[in-house]
Amino acid sequence: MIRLRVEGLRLERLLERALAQGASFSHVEREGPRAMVFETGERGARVLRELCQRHSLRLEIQRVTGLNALKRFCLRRWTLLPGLALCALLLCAYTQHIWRVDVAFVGERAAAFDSAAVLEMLSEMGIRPGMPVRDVDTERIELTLAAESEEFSFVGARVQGVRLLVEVAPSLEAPEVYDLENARDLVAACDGIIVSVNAQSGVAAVKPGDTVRKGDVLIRGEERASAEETRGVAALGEVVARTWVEAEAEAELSRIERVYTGRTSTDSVLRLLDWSWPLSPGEAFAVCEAEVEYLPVGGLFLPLMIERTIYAEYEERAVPLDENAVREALSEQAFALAELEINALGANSLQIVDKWIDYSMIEEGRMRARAVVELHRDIATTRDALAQEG
Amino acid sequence: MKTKKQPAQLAWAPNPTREIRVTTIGDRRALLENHTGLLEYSPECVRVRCRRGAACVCGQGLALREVRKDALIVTGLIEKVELEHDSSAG
Repeated sequence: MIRLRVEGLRLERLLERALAQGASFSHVEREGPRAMVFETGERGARVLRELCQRHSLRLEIQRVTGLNALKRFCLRRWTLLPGLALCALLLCAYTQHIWRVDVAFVGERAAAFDSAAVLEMLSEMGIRPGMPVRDVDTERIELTLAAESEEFSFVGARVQGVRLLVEVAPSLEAPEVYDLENARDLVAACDGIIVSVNAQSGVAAVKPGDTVRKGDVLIRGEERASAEETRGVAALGEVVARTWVEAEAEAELSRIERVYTGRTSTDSVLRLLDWSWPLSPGEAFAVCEAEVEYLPVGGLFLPLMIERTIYAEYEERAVPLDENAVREALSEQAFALAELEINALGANSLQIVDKWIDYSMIEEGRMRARAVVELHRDIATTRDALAQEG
Repeated sequence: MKTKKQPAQLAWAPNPTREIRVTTIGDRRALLENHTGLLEYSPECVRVRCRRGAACVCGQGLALREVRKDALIVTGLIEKVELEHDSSAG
């Protein structure tokens, strides 16, 4: 719909002529004695424009809406539609290719693997960014990768838009195999008080409540063969004991602060390369801070300068620190050290049951913090492993 | 051959000689059919030529809708419709 405003005299005649030429109007309104507003279609607008031109009437297009507006818009920007079509074509072509190849490791041992090796294997198979989606055979990728590496227990490949995602699950390590005929005992890895004993093979040598020291036998590697006879077996089991991990940290209860006395002295020397000539001798104090400055004489190109040393005397004074703040810092430090020790134990079944800290004053105004962490952990180990730990 | 179907409510008033027909709907709309041209249009008066003279719709804020060669709709507040008989027109 096109809205036109015409100014002039005898606009009724104009309307009549336009109607005679086949125009029609959806709305006609008089705006003033010499102005009329017409709403019409493309054909009506054309007829009205021609008539206005012929009779020298002033015509103004006020608004264009609907399909006419769209048509005018498209005509004004004729490159828009071909551009959109081209974009759609390019987008279509773009989505028909793989632009990203991602490898994701899943499972317990995911962190131990690097995707570079898998990407290289894929590259050898001809799978690389930029290849058409129709050429990607996910089933072939899965079978080939699974066949090529024994370390993978599962390989899954799928195409997600322009991305090829290959999921790999590394196979789990086989558990330790015990030779039951190879007799051995399980001994304590550290001192502790026994909490529970679970002997899967062999005979328990301790019971809950017993105190054991490092190296004591916990599960004896033997079993009864007959009424009078026993034979050796590999002892297996779990012995949970209360153990303690300790860590210590120390800190000063005061800090040294410099207090300047205000006494200063200046020593000046005239220096030319290795040769020097004293100008004004200065006094070096017992405890002082020295600051040296060089003043060039005769410009920067001459190696002649005055070396001036300024001595400033000061006294050292101990300023006490806030004891609570020191305790807090020591506590953090000691527990952090204890945590490091616990991590170094590397035990699987480990449970922290209690922890505490003691503070004590030691010589020369220092404080010591002792952090103790009580654990329940499996302390059963073989003699060989204990010997390796040293 | 297809023939133009006439509305049922006008079937009682056939108009083979194409005389002007003015149909008002309340005082807000008037349909003028079989006119032969627009003589005068202002917000107070719409005057059209017809076979035997002229017809005039008077009112306030009058506007024209659906203006075709032989018919138009007048909207606005319609106060009266006058038919001017031209004796010379026969």
